[in-house]
Amino acid sequence: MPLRSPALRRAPFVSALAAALALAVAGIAYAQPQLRTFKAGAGPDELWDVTMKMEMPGMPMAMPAQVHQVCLKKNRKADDTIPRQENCTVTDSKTVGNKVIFTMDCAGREPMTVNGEVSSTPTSYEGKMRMKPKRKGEDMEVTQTFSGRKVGACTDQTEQVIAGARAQGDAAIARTCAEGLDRLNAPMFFGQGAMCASQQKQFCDKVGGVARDLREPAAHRAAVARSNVETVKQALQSCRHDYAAATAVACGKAAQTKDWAFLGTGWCDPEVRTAGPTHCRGRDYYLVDRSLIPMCNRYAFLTKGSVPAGGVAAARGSAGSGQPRAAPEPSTPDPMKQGVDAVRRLLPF
Amino acid sequence: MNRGALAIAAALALVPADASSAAVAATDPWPGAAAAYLVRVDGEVRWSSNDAARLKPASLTKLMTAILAVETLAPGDEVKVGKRAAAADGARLGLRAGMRLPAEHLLAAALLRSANDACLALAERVSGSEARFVATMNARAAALGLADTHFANACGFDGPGHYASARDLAKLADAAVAHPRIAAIVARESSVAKTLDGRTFRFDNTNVLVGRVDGALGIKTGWTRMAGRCLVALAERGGTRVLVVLLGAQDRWWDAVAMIESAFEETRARPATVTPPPGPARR
Repeated sequence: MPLRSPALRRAPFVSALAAALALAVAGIAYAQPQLRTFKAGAGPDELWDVTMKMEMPGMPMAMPAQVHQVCLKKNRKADDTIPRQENCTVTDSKTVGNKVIFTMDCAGREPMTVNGEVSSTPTSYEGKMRMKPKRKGEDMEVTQTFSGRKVGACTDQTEQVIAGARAQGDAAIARTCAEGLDRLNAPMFFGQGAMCASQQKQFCDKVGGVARDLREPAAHRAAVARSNVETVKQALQSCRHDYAAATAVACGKAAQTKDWAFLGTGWCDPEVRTAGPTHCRGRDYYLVDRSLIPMCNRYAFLTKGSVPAGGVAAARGSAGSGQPRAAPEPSTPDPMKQGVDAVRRLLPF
Repeated sequence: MNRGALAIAAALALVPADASSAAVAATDPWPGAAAAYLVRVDGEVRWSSNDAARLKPASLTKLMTAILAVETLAPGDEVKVGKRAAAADGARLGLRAGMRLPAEHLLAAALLRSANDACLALAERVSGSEARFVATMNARAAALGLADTHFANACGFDGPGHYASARDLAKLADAAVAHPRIAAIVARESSVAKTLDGRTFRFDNTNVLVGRVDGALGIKTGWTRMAGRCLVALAERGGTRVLVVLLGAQDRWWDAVAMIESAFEETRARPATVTPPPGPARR
C-alpha cells in the first residue's frame, strides 16, 4: 500500500512528516542541501518549520537536530500533500484523538520496518519514529523525533520546479537525439528503451538520403568518414536499406571513373580483383603510378595477404571471411621487367 | 642457385634448435618470401619466419649509426667529410673530401638515400675512426640486448662478423624511432643535404612505402649482394603500429605491403578485448 493511508490523510502535517520520514529513510538527510521549491512570505500556502533529530545507540555524541522549512498547499487534498516515497508503504495505521499511530515497511537498499506516532494541532505537531533494519546482523534501531510548527505563509513552487527540471531534461534529450541523428547512431533510435525511439521516422528519413548518397563514391567516402563504416551499415540495416547494394553501385562507378583511391578503401574488393591484374600484377611497386597505389595496395593484400578480407568486402560477397585465400600469384616478369630487375640489382639500396 | 635460394639455405642452416617446424608453420603465412621476416603489431610478434637467424643486415646497419650520431651530435654540428668517407662504395651522395655539412643533413642522407659517404662521415665525426665507432656500435647492441647482432663496419657492407637477426633489427628500429630526430627524418619522402659553401644534394627516400602506404612512418631499406633486399618498415593507423622486418626478400615491396595490410586488417577484425591466455611467450 502506498503512503496514502486515510488515517494519515487527515493529519495536516502529514506532508512534512512524510518528507522528513522520506529523507530519513533514504539516508540522505544530513549532507544533502535542501532543494527549495517555494517562495516564503507571500502566500497563499502554509510555511512550516520542521525539526528532526536522530538517535542511534552507540553513537559517541548526539547528532545535531536538523531544521528546515516546507511549504504545504493551502487548499491541498491529502493526496497532493503526501510526497511519494517509492520504497515505503504504510502497512497499518490507526487514529486516536489527535494522534496517529502507524507502521511502514521500507524496501530498497536499506529495507526496514518503521513504527511511529504523531500528535497534531492545526498549527503544530510532534512525533517519533523507530526504524529497525530488516537485514540479518543489522539490529541497530534508529529513533527519530520530529516536530513541526506553522510559521507563516508561502507560495508552493514545486510544480514549476518540476516542470523546469523536466524541460531541461527534455532539451538535453533533444540535443542528444539530434546528435545521434547527425551521427547515424542507430542504437539511440531502435531497440528496447531507446532514448530517441519517438524519432525513428526522422532517423530513417535521413538514412534513406544517406543510402542514396552512398551510391556515389565521393558521398560514400564522406558518409563513412563522418560516422565510420560499421555505424553506417547498422543505420542502413535498422531502416531496411541495403548497404552492400549501395556500396556495389559506388564501386562500379569508381571502377568506371578510375577512382583508384576509392577502390583501395577495402569496400570494393570484387572490383579490385578485376582491375588488379591489369594495373598492379607483375609491376615493380615503385614504378606503379601513385594514383593506382591505394588500389594496388589492396590488391597486394587480397592476393598475398595472410588474413581474409573482412568488413564490407565480406558483406559484398567477395573472397572475404570464411573463404579460402587466393593462392599468392606467381611472379610473372615480362621481358621489360627482367631488364628493370637487372638494373635494380646494380642499385645498392 | 640464385641469390634468394642461397639466402634461404643460409637461413635454414641457422634456424635455432628450439624452433619446431610446427611453430614455424603456425606463424609463417609467407613461406619463402624472405630469408627471414617478422611482422609485429603493437610490439607483439604476429608472424615470423627464421627471425632469430643471423643474416646480413646490409644498410639496416645504418639505424645503429643514426642512433649513435643523434646521441652525440646536435643537428647543426658541422661535419667535415674525410677522404675515406668520400671514397665510400655503393650508394653515395657524391660528397668530396673537405666538404662540410650539418650533421642532420648527413643523417638524412644516410637514412633516406642510404648514402655510405654520409654514413661514414658521421661515424668518423662521432668516434674519430670507423673502427672505434664500430666498437661503440657493438657495445650499444649488447646494451640493447641484441644477442644475434654484431657489426664489423658502420654502414652495412657485407663482411665476416657483420650480422643481425630480424628480431634484433626490430628492437633496433624501436630504439631508432624513439629518437624524434630519426623518426622525423625517416618519415620524409625526400630531403636535401647542403654543404656549408652552398652545394645542394637532393635525394628521395629509398623506402618507397612512405607516401604510398597509408600511415607509413619509414624507416630503412638495405641491399647487398649477400643480404639481398632488406627492409624495416613501420606504419601506424588508428593508434596501432605495425613493424615489418624483411631480410633477403624476394618481392620486398609487394610483400611488405601485403604484410602491413594483413596486420592492420587482422587487428581491425579482432574483437576489441582479447586477453591472451597464459602460456609460453611467442617465439
